[in-house]
Amino acid sequence: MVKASENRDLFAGALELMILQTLKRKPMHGYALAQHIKTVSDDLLQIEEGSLYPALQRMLKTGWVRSEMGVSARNRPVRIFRLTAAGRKRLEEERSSFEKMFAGISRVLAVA
Amino acid sequence: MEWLKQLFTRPRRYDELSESIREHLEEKIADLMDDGMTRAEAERSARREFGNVVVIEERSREVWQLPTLESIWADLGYAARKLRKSPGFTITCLLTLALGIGANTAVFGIINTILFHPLPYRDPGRLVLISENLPLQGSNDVGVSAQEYLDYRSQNSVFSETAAFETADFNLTGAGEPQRINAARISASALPLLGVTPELGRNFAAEEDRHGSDHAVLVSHALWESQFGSAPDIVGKTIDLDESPYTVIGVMPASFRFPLDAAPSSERASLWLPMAFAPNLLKPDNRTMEFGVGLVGRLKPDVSPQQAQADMSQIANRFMRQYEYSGTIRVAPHIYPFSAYSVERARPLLILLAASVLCVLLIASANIANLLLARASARTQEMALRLAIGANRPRLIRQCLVESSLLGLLGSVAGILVAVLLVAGLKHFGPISLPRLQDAAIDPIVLLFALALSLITSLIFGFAPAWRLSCVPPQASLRAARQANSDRSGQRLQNSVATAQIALAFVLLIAGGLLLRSFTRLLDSPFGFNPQDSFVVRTVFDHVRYPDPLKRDVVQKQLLERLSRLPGITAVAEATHLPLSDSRKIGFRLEHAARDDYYSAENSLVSPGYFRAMGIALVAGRDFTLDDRRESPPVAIINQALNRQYFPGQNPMGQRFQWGDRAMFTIIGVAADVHVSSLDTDPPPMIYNDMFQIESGASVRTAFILRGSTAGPELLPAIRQQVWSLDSELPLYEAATLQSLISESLAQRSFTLVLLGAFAVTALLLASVGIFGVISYFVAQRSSEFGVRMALGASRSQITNLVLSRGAIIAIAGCLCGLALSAFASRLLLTSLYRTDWYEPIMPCLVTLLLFVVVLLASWLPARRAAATDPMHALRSE
Repeated sequence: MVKASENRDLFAGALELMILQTLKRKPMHGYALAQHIKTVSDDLLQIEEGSLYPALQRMLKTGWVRSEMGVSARNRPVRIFRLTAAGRKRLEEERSSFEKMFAGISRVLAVA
Repeated sequence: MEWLKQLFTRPRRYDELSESIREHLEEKIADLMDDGMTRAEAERSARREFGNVVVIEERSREVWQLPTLESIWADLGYAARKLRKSPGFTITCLLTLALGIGANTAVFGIINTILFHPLPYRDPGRLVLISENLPLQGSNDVGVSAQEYLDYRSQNSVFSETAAFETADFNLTGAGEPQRINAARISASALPLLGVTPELGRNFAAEEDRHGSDHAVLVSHALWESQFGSAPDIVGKTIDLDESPYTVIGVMPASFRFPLDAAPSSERASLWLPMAFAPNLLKPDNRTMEFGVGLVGRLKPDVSPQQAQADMSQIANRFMRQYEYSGTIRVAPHIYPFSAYSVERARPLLILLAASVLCVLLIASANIANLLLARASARTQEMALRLAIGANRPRLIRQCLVESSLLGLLGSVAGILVAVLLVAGLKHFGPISLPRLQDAAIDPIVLLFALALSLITSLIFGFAPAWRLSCVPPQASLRAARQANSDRSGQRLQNSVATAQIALAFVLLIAGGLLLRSFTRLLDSPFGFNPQDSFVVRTVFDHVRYPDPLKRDVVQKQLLERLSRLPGITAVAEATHLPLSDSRKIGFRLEHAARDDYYSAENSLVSPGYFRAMGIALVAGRDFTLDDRRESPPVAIINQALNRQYFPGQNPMGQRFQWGDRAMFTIIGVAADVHVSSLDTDPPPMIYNDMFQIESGASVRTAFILRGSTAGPELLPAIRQQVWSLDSELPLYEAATLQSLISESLAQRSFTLVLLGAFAVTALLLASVGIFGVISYFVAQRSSEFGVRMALGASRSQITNLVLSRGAIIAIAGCLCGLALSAFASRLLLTSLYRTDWYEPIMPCLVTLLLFVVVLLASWLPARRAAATDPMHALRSE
């Protein structure tokens, strides 16, 4: 179990990758995003929900996502994060490099 | 620019962030309550799973921040708090800086206006002035002659255009009181060359450049306003100049000041007339009769000044061969930037001021550096602690530099205020002869200079303490004891800074002393005339009103007669040229000398009794009398300088010389020398002629000299009444006492003296404060050592001597460095000295003495404190 008080502990870019991937499906607000990542990972990744926010701010700054007003499942006005074209491109790059790295790690583990 | 946008949208970003987090928590709490929790339980649980809201918000915000900038901001805040907490230190620093930066900014403002002010002409950098020297006669910058101008103009291949100019003055009559107006004659090519067009009307046409068709005039904007009420229909109107009608063809823009761009407004031309050379000057025989034509040229784009110089020399050699220049008439043309023409004479003065004011700033910086160094020692604990808990060295240096920069910045604000005051004061009290002084202002460039200066100085005075602080070993914070002995290098640094201060003060004091000595020598040197109880006023008898010289003589003699009857007046006379105000040179040839052996001398046409009225001694021979008439043999009086130069070991009386194409003049007297251009130049050879015997171009302008107990400005109404009762059209102008001619001549010198003196005194004060600080600090640091010494038997006077000797060592070292420096710096002074050598031994001796006294006084208080150390107290605190 990874206790991710610092997202870097997860490993570099992993949290960002998950956020990008999740937002690619559909734009959502922070709480929904956290819930989604938790359910999809079957609670394997116990991310401290708050750590989403520094990551989201970084992505807002680089222009991978943008925020806009929307409504939650409870019909409350909330800020929705949406993937931008730049973010989509970034996701593709990250995915391929992540897959390569993962494959590499798997091979090393297999040999050991 | 992206970061700038982010900076401005940041508050909104922060709000959105907080909102998002709040929404997140609200949603989560609602979900948890749906699962059956109470509100309180749900809140607790949501916060636990979210993490520390404050920390997360802060970390999220950091994304938008600029780490270096904001930590500098924090440093600034810290520095500001530090400065507020020690107001004594801060105020001392700020006052010192305000003085240093203020004086420098003011001087720079003036230099910027005077030396670097761009001339208001098109591409002024390409404009050059061509003038000639007469090396064999020792005359420089005489201008060119009319025919030479025409040769330079037609034969050169280096200028895209050339123009001639000449200053002149006229009586403007027919509008109120008769007025004397400064004017300039300019050729039709001048305005296109300068790239200036009249704001109303037109430029001169080429045919107006010819004698006889030259009665056209351009008027200045100021004259148009003051004299003609800005009448839009002025063009085409006729005005009377010297009683002749001239047609106004246009009005020049207010910015147009040609040719004396830098002259004070009272001397600037208000009228421009065509450059129509008198036919007489264009006769081949009269080629070198009159110089004085200004020649301005615009360099072709690909021509360098050196090429232009070569071309001018070639043309001059050609026409000198062609027209057989011979004897002492040889011309050497030379060119220099037109921008330098009006300000050349002010340059050495300004450089001197800049250098001395820079010394003041260096001393001020040294003071602050020493204050900061002293404070740095008091802060070693703090810095060591910071190092010990992880701050790195660059970070500490940066913090120290931020502190000194903040000081510098505040100092520059105070300095700008001081500069504004100084510039206003200089404008008010500065010499009118300093070109463009009245235009001096604190403009953005000057502000930028002040800012840059403060930053540079703050880096200079901030770096030494910063470096020292950052070199403190971290374990120093663990040692509780005072750093008495480990601070040797800090003291060495402080001592050398103090030595430098003394050295700089030494240089400034020497400079001030030399100037003062020059000034008193000038005042002590004989003026040649008696400035007391005398008053002069000028007038003009123009050719149109007085075409007949004999008729003019009658009126002049009548006027002299009437003026001499004014109450209290003991002597009255007339002269065309007055000492210290006017200069006119004539060429003369001694009898029996070769035909082309011409020399030049100053000249003035005077009435009989001139020497008595001026208080000039006649050392030999006789004065002119009313018997020297136009039909009697021409006579002349020479001065001692001419006598020495041309009749060494001979009796000049009865010797004869020729002036122009006139008959031979016989010398009948020798008068004492008087200064012509200024008191600090040697009186030149001079020839006086009788104005009632000789007619010349200068005859029409004349000054009345009145001597007597009542002579002064109060007499002016009575003089006016007498003059105007004879001829109400005679303008009376430039009324002044002879005393004021002397003070005007000394104005620039006294201005320099006062400023440099002020700088020297400031430097002395700052340096003594600096010494006081260093010695006080020395005493404070050594107090326990002194206690030990006293406990071991040292007497109080021994301790006092120990401290005083520290001051004395600094003083000796400083004076030695200062002596070496002043030998170097005195080059700047050369042009400002009068019969004073920089190495006159009395000066360094006096200055050294003065500095010793000041240093010992400044060390005395700390020494007393040291001697008062209580040994028990010192030992107990150990």
